[in-house]
Order: sequence, then structure tokens, then C-alpha cells
Amino acid sequence: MGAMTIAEVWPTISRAFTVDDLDRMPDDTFRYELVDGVLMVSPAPSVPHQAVLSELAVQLHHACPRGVFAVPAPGMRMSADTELVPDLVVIRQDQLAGRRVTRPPLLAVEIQSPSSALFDPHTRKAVYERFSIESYWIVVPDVDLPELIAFELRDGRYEQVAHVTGERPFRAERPFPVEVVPARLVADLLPD
Amino acid sequence: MGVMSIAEAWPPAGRPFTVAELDRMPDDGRRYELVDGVLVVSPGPTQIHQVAALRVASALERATPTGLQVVPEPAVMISADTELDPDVVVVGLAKIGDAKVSTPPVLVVEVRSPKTALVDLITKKAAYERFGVDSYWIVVPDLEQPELIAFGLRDGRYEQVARVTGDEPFRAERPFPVEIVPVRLVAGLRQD
Repeated sequence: MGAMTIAEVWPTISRAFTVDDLDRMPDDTFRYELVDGVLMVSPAPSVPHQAVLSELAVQLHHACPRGVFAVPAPGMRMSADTELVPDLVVIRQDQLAGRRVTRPPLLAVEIQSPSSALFDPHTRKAVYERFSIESYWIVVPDVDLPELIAFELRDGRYEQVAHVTGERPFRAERPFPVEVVPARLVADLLPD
Repeated sequence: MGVMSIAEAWPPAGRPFTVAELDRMPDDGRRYELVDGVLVVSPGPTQIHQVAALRVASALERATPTGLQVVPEPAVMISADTELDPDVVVVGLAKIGDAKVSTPPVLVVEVRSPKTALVDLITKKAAYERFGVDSYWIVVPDLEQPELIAFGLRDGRYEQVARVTGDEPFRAERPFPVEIVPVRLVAGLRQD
């Protein structure tokens, strides 16, 4: 099957989108996500965003216990009309097969970008909470004041468990012990 | 300008969506909105949704003081990369005439489709708060239990000022005195 164009995949009747529509979206750098049948099309992440993501992925990779994996940008299908693409998830080995994640990961991380500043702390957080993702971290990759905000489920609701900035370390207990320092995630982005 | 196809409206790969792309989206019954450069595509409203919106608009219209105007389904352009399409707004009469509302309305009303609850309740509310829309009402046109939730700005943040259901009246003070009774918004309507 060749690359589909947006015109070929766009449903002609005005119904809610489904994850099947999402599967057919063109490979045109946009990130296609679906929340309750509402389609969200985001611009491709910037180079600094990807650099911060890769730095965090490496740190988590080194701290992962056996059988646990850090995976960047998987499709995460939560229902027939909700599918998001987190920047990074931590999953057990039994979720490593297949095209996408279909059960709650242990951790989902978003590296915030200008286009996600409203979605990440609001809609995305609510969707992840509903999907029972144990831990949700938001990294704000601001070069001057990088931040990390961590939420964990308590009785089915997210509670903020940490908010660190700059050189202050976040010592996570879940999904496994690891220390993350916001300043280190953006260190390479600093001008000489 | 004729009817555009989705292909003509789509930006080239790698280019972000702006309000210029939004203007070219097809007139296919869907709602196309833009939040910080993320395209948000919602299914077309149901007839119950449309009737409830019309009834809110006419209740407001009867109570509107001189100098203000009720406008149904305007394009509200918040910036070059954020534009929303609320069900009803109230703006200063002097602001009428442009193609889009580009200064904060004094009131925005969204009729919440059950399916788009998360996006409406969370992300759009945050966008209107940031834009400085003084009052934001959400109408839930549930036939069994219709509801109205009202938020007002206090020091730049939304605070819930009322939440009424059924035949309980909401007596608004802002943007002007008006009484809205949720059950009247759906009276006589039946689900298929």
C-alpha cells in the first residue's frame, strides 16, 4: 500500500473519527491523535524537544529493572475512539509485541512543547488518568528554568507528587527508583 | 470561493497549522478548531445540541442590554495559531462587523456534546481563561438531567460560580442579569 493522502482517508460523512481512521492517516510528519472521537493533529516535534526526549529515554533505559523498557512515541490505543501518542512510555516486556500499546503503561511522559502547553496538563492528563496509567510526568524543557511535574494515581485520581525545577533532583520511586534532574535534560541545549 | 477539499486545506508536511489553514477547511459539517497550532476536528453537532444552543442564545438575546450582542457560532480568533468555534458568544456591539471575533467576548457558551466532554471541559476552558473571556458557561443538553456549569474569571483564573441541573434556575449576574433553566433548554426534545 502506497502512502495515502489526506483526501483519500478523510471520511466524507461528518461522523466521529475512529482508531481505524487514525491508522490510515498519511505519514506526513503530523502527529494524529484521537480523544473520544475528536481528532487532534499536532505539528512534528522540534529538534530540542527530541533531544530532551532522547536524553530522558537514555536515563530511564539505564535505570530500568529487568523486563521493563522505555519506549519513545508508541501509539497507545485506549478504546475504539481514543488513541494518543505519548512522547515516552515505560512498559513491561509483555507489552513489547504488536503495533501499539493497548494496556496501561507503568509511566507516560510528555515533553511539553508550545503546541502542547494546554493539552498536556489538561486533556492528556485526564485521559491518562481515565486509562489508569500509574505515573504521568510532564517535562517543561525550558532552557532557563526546566521543570518536571510528576503525578501518581491515588484512588483512581492523579495527585501531584513532585514538582522540581533546575538542578533539584526528582527522586522517583515509581515505576522504579531513578533520579531525574531537569537541568541535565536540557544541558546540551544551552549555548556555549 | 468554492468548496475546498481537505487536500487543499492541508499544509505541506512539516508546516504548522495556522488560522489561514482553518479558513480553508471544507464545509462538511465538522467543527474545525485550532489550539496552539494543534488542529482539533470534532464531529458535527447533533440536532439536540443545536436546539439547546439556539434556546440559550434566545434567552440571552431577550435579556441583552444595549451595547451588547449575542452571536451564534462565531469564529473566535485568539491568536495566529488559536481559533475556536463556540456555540454562542456575547460581544460588544461595536465589535460586530469583522469576519471573526478577535477580542475577548464577555461570555462564551459551549454546548457540550457528551462525546467531546474532555476537550470542551478542559482544554477549551483553559484557552478561554488565557484569552480573558470573563464568563464561560457549559450547557449539557442531557434529556434526563440537563445541566449548566458557569465559570467566572477571578484574578485571571476561572472559578466555578454555579452548577444547576433540571428545573433549578441559574440566575446569572454576569455579563448581565438573566435566568437560564436547564430543563427549558431541552423541553419537548426526544432522543431517537
